[in-house]
Amino acid sequence: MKKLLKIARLYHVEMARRQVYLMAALAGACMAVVPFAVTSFGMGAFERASRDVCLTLLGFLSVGLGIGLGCSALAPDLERRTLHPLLARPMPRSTYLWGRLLGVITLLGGVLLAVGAVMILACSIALRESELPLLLGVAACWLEGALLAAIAVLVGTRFGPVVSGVTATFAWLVGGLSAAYVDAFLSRSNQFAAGMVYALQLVIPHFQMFHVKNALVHRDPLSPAYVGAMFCYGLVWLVFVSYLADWSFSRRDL
Amino acid sequence: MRWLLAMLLALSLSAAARADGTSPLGVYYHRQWAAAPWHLPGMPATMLRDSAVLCGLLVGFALWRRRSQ
Repeated sequence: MKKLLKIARLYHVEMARRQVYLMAALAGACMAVVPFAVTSFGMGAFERASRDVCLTLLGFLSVGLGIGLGCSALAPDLERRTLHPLLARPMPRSTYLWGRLLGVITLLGGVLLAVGAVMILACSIALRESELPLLLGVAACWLEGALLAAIAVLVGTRFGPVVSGVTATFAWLVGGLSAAYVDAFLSRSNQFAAGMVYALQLVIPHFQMFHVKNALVHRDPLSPAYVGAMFCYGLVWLVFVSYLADWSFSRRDL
Repeated sequence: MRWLLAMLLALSLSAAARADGTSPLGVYYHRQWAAAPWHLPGMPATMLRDSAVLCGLLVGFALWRRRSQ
């Protein structure tokens, strides 16, 4: 456990050197401006427009960062061969992998929490009401991004960063398609594609479960049972994909 | 890998056999259900059921992995 935490900490140090936190600061600055920019347009329902734009931006940030961090979690150590001296020590491969994964997930959580806090504060000031419920949107974004990072790491145990990035993006696109969309549009124009989407959705997570943005924007009541089930579903998928990555990495010929 | 593929195939077949259009690993909706999942009263129970199935798969996989080592 101590070694695992050390690997995670090393990952944070490495990312600090790569100036990931600078990117988070830029995203935070953007979030601080957006609610005021939207309200200054004088749109009728500017509360909803502000929340919508902010949560959409945060969603893109979580997906992009999750996939980016997941792709680059293993690849640099494998390419520069710095993994071999690490594994020459009395440390199992699984400790290294879980440590890197923990580093990715906590880094993503830290960045999203910081950017989300700025977003909530800016929205609360601009809209003159408490926007604390948006914290649930931040948590849902983190779950989605962490799961995508784990998928990218799973693919990254066998392939390069480009393939793992494309695969994670593909999983996100297909897993996020709603049945209503597939039935209403896709199945009418291309039945083969609709069938493929349904077949793939049997074995990949449903990212639509984490898309609670519309409920938060329109202040729809979200039942505590749904929120609890969403967290349970996301975390179980996260552990499952991480375990598959551990299994795949343990069988890789280094 | 053989075992993994067999498990996925079994899950897909069990999903196809279900009359209500749901599956253990992801396809939740009856085809006519609305797009917003939080509006559906049965959704938390479905998600928890899927999580339980996934946990079962995880435990089975871990046991098989330990035995094969």
